[in-house]
Amino acid sequence: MTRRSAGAWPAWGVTIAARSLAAWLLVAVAADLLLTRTLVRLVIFMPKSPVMAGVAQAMGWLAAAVDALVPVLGLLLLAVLLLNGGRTRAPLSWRAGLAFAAAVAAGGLALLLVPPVPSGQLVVDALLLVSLGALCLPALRAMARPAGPDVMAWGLSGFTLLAVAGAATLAALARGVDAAGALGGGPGGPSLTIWLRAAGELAYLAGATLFGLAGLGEAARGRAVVQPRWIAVAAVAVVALLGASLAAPLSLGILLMWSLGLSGTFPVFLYAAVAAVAIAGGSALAGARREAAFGLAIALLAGYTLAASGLVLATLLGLALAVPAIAGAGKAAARPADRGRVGSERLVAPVAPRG
Amino acid sequence: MSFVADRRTRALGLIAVAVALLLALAGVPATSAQGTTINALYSSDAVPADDPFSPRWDLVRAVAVPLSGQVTTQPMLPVANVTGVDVRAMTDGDRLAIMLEWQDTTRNESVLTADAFADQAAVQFGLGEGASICMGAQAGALNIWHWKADWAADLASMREIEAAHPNMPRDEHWPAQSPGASPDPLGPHGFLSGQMAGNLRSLPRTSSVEDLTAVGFGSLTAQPADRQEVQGASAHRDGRWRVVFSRKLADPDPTDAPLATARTFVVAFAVWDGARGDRNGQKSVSNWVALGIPQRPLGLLDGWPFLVMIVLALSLAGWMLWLGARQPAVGLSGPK
Repeated sequence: MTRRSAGAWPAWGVTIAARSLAAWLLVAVAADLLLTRTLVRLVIFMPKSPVMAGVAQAMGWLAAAVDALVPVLGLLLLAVLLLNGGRTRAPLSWRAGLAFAAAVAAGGLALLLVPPVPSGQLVVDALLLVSLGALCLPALRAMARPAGPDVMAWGLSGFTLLAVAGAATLAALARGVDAAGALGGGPGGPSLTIWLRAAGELAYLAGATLFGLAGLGEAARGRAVVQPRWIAVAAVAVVALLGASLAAPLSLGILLMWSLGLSGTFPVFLYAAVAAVAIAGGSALAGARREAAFGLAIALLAGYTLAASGLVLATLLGLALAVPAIAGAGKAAARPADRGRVGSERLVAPVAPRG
Repeated sequence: MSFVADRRTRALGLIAVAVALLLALAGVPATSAQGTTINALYSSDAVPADDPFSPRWDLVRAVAVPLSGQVTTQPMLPVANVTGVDVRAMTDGDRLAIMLEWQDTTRNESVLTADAFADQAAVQFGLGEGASICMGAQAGALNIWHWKADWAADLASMREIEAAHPNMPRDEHWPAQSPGASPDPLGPHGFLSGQMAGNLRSLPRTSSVEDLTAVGFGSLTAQPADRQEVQGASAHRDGRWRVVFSRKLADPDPTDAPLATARTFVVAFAVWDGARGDRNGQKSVSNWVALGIPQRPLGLLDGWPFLVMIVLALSLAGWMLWLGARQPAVGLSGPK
């Protein structure tokens, strides 16, 4: 192996190992959403016969394992991305963003071990903001370039990235305002945090919508297919949301808050429409632009309020995975020779022939 | 190509699953909550547990905790009657005091008639990783401190039902008030079965706060009278309630929140507006928030383990980036 072979890597950061671990992480975050954040909390509403109590206890234990799996896989993926970031000469800001993501992960762990001080939370939120900005900078630069005819190939994914990163930024700012108030003493500014969180929720919903539209756009251009099974999943999600809103609207609101951190203040048909577009379109995006789709899906499934340190790390890693795909696609689209080749095959390091 | 087909990555993934299972089995948390945190202020003087309007409380930053209706179980309250509560906490190393403040233009301190309900407030502490916010679970119990405005009023002067119905016909208390009756071996309260059974609701008040335990719906249980360690103080002024809950940090009771040994708790709050008919499950409730309790005065340098971990993580990340840049072959896949 020589340095020369590193130069043959067309994309930075995302290698086969990272792709595989990203798939593991995506599954873990999805399981965390469905099991830990939804089903286990749904069980609270059910009567507890002795059998149900046993089932609930077993589910609680399994949910705790899934909850632990997210940060464990996240740390593994972070290590792989750091190694690959150096090896593939990724942009400095992206590498710095990963390093700060490691610091955010350490800060989350430290909050378990050291005495709670307001400055600790403030430092973690500041690191999170720096990491978000540094990770997304290459994508911002790519999007700022004059757009070619293939702009739609990456444009919606890029805006999805910005919306999801914006939602995480607003949530971190809201927490930072809280923590800063705690440092200074005296009453804080709850109204500011409420506005920040509301704006963040809108950004999150916009991100989920754009995520789906990006995939549907790929399907419309014939680069991907919306699989019938994912249309069925989207339909089930819509029916479940609308059905729950008719049968138990208040319980649905609580579940939305507990699972994705959404306030439930918007009409339920909006949540249903966003879910349908995101699920159906997202599956198509995964067929055409796998890295971007996986990364953005991880960030979206991690939820909006990012109250658990494992989910914070998952969001940062999801964005870190999506950025090279979007920035790389932007570059490719800007070069006439590369037009029409904006697929995942251009964005992932090639696997060396074995043997 | 399957995304999880790579053998080495699959092995890594399986190791991660095994580690997660072990962490879950051992009950070791791998994630921390980064939501709203109420940090108790460490005070070198005794906490003002008896004075909700002490100027010292104004030195503590209030954390605004939003409340919503309770819609998990019957009886529900679809829309919160109290939309938020300001929370402050203070400790002096011996005692923890938590003050709740909320807007309530009416002062309701009586439950002596069928249609009267008192203002109330509660703090619940999760005692395990699996504690459900909805009255706890088998996997994690709750310790609940429940303040009642009627109990607080009773502390000043215990009121019986005769206070609400002064002209009601009444049975004399047997046997002490029966003329000519022989002395009763059970004493003057021999037929006050609630008191004889040790029911806190019948006993003379010693605190306005009831110390309770719960492990699920329908399991709310008052701790015995000799284990009621939580004190309360309350005042209603300018349309706002201020209620202070306080308890010694050291407490050997395993059903109580271990304030002396744990540094961070998950807590949740509930408020009842008696004027609007709130009672039982009809209450305004919060989500979980974190409560940090310093065991001694904290200075800037107390954050050093935290800063060291962050610096270590940054250094490790920098080293890995450098390693990757120096050795292209390092990694889990790539050209060979």
